[in-house]
Amino acid sequence: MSVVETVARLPLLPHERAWLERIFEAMLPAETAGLPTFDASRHADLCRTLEEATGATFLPGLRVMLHALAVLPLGYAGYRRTFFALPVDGRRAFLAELAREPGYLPRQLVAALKILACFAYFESPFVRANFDLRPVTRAPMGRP
Amino acid sequence: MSALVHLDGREVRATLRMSAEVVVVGSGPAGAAVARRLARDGVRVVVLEEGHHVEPQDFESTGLRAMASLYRDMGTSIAFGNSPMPYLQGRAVGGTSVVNGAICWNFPKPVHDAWAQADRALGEALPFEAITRAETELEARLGVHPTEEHVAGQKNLLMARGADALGVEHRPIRRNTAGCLGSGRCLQGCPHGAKLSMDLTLLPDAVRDGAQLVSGVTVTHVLSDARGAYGVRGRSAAGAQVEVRATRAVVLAASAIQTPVLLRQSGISQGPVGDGLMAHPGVSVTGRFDTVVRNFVGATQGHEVTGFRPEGLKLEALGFDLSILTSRLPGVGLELARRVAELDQYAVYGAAIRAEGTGKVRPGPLGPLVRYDLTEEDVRKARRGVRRLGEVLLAAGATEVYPGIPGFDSVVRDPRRMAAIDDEGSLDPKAYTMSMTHLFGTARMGSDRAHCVVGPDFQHHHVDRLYVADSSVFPSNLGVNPQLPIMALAHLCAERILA
Ligand SMILES: Cc1cc2nc3c(=O)[nH]c(=O)nc-3n(C[C@H](O)[C@H](O)[C@H](O)COP(=O)(O)OP(=O)(O)OC[C@H]3O[C@@H](n4cnc5c(N)ncnc54)[C@H](O)[C@@H]3O)c2cc1C
Ligand code: SF4
Repeated sequence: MSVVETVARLPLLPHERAWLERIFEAMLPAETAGLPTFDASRHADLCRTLEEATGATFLPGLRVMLHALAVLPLGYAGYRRTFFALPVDGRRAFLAELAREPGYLPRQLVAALKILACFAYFESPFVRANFDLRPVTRAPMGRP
Repeated sequence: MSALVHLDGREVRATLRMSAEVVVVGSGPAGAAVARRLARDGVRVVVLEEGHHVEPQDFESTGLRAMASLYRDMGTSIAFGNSPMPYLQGRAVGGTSVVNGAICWNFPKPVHDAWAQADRALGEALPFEAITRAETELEARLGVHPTEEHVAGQKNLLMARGADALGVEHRPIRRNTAGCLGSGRCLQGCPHGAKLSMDLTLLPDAVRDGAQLVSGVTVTHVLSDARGAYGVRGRSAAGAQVEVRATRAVVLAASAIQTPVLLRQSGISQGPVGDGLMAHPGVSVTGRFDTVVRNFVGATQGHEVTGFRPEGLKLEALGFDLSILTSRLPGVGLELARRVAELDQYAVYGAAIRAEGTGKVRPGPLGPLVRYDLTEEDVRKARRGVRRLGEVLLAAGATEVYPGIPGFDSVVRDPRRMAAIDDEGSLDPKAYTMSMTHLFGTARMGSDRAHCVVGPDFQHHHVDRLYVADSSVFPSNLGVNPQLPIMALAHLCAERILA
């Protein structure tokens, strides 16, 4: 691996992993809809997968997104604190506000973190058990 | 080790040297079709594949784990340009066929006519009848047939209903499956072995006829000298050097992104190698029904609307894992949670765009650098695609549709508002969330040595015995799902080598 790639692939720091977890909970507060919550025991595994299986530009991009989201609310009336210093309602409201932004970058930031949150949420078999995933038929057509 | 794989690169810890008549790089539709055709005639073939072999029963069920194990870079590769978008590729024994939607289309005659008109020698070297002959044989082997109604599931049946209501042409998608249960997991790898991807069909055929498949090996260089190409070099997943010498031909079938990278990395950069990338970018629209749809089951992609092809659009039902379906719902926070509670009421349909935009692929320090720009006409098509998708969803009975275009209504309930997208929808390319799964044109084929990388016989214009067999050679995109045409052309490439 080249030096550039080694640097690009430096694992997430503990606080970055914790941030990610808090973003996921704000992005998809499942308990508010009577659904099971994120399975926190899978979080480390998720982060490892993101660190190992993604392209070499992914982690630097994720880092930029995490740090940008951390400070963005400072510039918004009604928030004026870092994202992670906001109360849980404030974090949810801020993400919703960012998602409505006409600008490309804020929208993309929310969209990218939303996909990660969805991946993380549906890793749990307990969560998946809430959906009827049976194939539409159990009688296969014969092979030619 | 499986019966299919001769050697697994994860276990190759010491320098490996092999020899063959032909070495093929990549085991997707292109590589598998070449290897099968050559092996049938007794040619000694070695196929090198970067990904690993996963048996159907071992395919991961969740979106995250399936993408981590079977997709290149977990699907995070981005093409930069005026509308940055991910391009998705499989990395496995069987290539992208392992994770694709199993949709099969024949090579469109008008596309062949256009190629032949632009380059007569190409038309003569690659007659349409030869392509049809290859496709017919491959279709029989791959069990290509229309999706049966009993495996379709609601999302596909609703699309048929919507298209009927609009009076627009549509049909069940022809797929390479046998024994499909309608589990909706094609994009994660079919756990029932019902999708007849390359790992279950053309590759076993090739191996039965003597080909050797080595997985977990990344080829980094084509070896060539003044007399032509004589082999490839790479490294195994365990870190050892791998070298395969080939007496007759080196065939690149690593995809329209990796093949030009490999050529340039090997110092073979004559001609427009890496230029001319073409694609079918896709947009999608989500609709909410008052009834249960269960978008996540039923034939993954079982129905298509073909009536908008004159507009450069082909509409398809899309099936995803729960995770990806949720990411396509509108809203975040409380709104998203509320919608997840009714997840089985949503359907997502996609439109593949026959785009005119072009791009470039180059090797970069962190992997391929891909640039792709949409033309203004492409953006109009994307906008029209969103409109058409919304119209079909509403006609199918959706009560709400979410166009997802900034500045336009976030929820549409009325077809007249859907039609208004044509006037009011943004023409900023970045307003559309797109992705690319069909890629072409980065080592194009043709008789003109200055403007083409390989000749009409698939052989490199400047390096003898070096062939390119994947969709890099296509002089243009097709407007239809390409796997069957890719296999057909690769089959013909093998016949050129045999000749
Ligand atoms: C999600 C998805 C759904 C799709 N659905 C459909 C569909 O329903 N119908 C359809 O017609 N098309 C579909 N496509 C597109 C279709 O699958 C591809 O066009 C087709 O697989 C391309 O074939 P290929 O052999 O050129 O490349 P690939 O299938 O990508 O195979 C290339 C192989 O080469 C290997 N490789 C690359 N570089 C190296 C290297 N340096 N050393 C060793 N090995 C290497 C890769 O790991 C890969 O396995 C879909 C694509 C995607 C991503
Ligand atoms: S729909 Fe399910 S059973 Fe049918 S081919 Fe796809 S993954 Fe296999």
